[in-house]
Amino acid sequence: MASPNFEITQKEQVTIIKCLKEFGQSAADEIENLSAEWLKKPSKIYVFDFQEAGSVSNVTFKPMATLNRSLKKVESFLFSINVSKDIERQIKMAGLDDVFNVKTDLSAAMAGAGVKVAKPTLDANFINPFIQSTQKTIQTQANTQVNAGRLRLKQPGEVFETDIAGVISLTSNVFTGAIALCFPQETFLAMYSNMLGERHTVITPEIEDAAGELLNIIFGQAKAELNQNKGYVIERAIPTVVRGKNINIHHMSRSLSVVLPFETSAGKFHIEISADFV
Amino acid sequence: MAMTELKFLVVDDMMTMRKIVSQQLRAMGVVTIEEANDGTVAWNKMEEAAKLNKPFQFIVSDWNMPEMKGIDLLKKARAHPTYKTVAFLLVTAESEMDQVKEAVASGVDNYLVKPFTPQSFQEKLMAAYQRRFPGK
Repeated sequence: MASPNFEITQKEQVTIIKCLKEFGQSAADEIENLSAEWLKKPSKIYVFDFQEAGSVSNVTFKPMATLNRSLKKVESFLFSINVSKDIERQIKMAGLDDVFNVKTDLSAAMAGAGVKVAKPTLDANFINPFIQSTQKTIQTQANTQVNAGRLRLKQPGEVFETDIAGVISLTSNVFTGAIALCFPQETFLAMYSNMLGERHTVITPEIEDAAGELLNIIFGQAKAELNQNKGYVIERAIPTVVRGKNINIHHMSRSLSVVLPFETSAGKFHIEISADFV
Repeated sequence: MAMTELKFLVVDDMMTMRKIVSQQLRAMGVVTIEEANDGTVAWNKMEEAAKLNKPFQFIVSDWNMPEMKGIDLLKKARAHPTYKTVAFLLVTAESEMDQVKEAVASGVDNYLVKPFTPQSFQEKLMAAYQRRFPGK
């Protein structure tokens, strides 16, 4: 059943409890109920995210203290992140620093529990799942053979022939960034024809979401590999599609962007990945 | 009732994927197919169909959609008197183990990970059908 107070996500060893509104009586009651459930099969870390909490009522202090005490007994941890100055002051005044255990972000919380977090770079360990999932997706879903080209850095100001692109924002415990799947019109139309048996001469709104869907599948496959086998905690995301003549994907990233070129029987396309690491 | 005679609802926010799924259902001989571009739209259609005593008998839904997600549509269906036993196939790009576990715990009949071939789609669909209509 959906929680009225929290959005709860569980990944591997971490349960994130995002507070959706005031951390008050209703939240206090729910924590008591959730605590019993959690303690049946506890995660290693429980992180309360106060980004949207607005305020915290004193009635939540007792169930939080009880939860923290119970978690300690089973060698689990409770942390709080995105805590405003006002809430942090309130916690300190109540002498509950050790209960709420405020950290700057999820990464710091995980480090506080002694959990090793993969420190990503745009290296083969991070990039290869995207190459493999691109080949698998295009071959299986679009019935088109794919050869991966040589990975390289995107040069400042470099523009590729791109008429349509699917774009997904990457959000994880240790980095933010973006991935873009970029097609020239001819490649996109030929691939669409392979996928659905429909021939089009121009990209129309009726068919453009295929760029987003293909990227969605590529991202889903790569995310599963990175999260399950390489120690990342990349969050789910929904793609958007951009269209125009010779689109330039400009990454608002302080770090470098990489380009993965692909050749297919339908023509060339490429993927761009950028990431800022915490 | 043969699977081809069932009333299907295909739910996906991406028109391309709705087309692919509907196309493959038609290729298998399914005649009655409706589409919805989100879980909320799907649920409204399902409630309306139930009121008219012509409920959907097979739901093929994406997981990751902007408004109501496929997993939430599944949970709503399982709590509804008309749809608690409806055949339900989740088709999704999400293949992480905790998601599969959540789908199974919520009563999904089968789970198909994208990308998929027509053959794997048919196999998963048939397995879901046979789970709900044993002996058919």
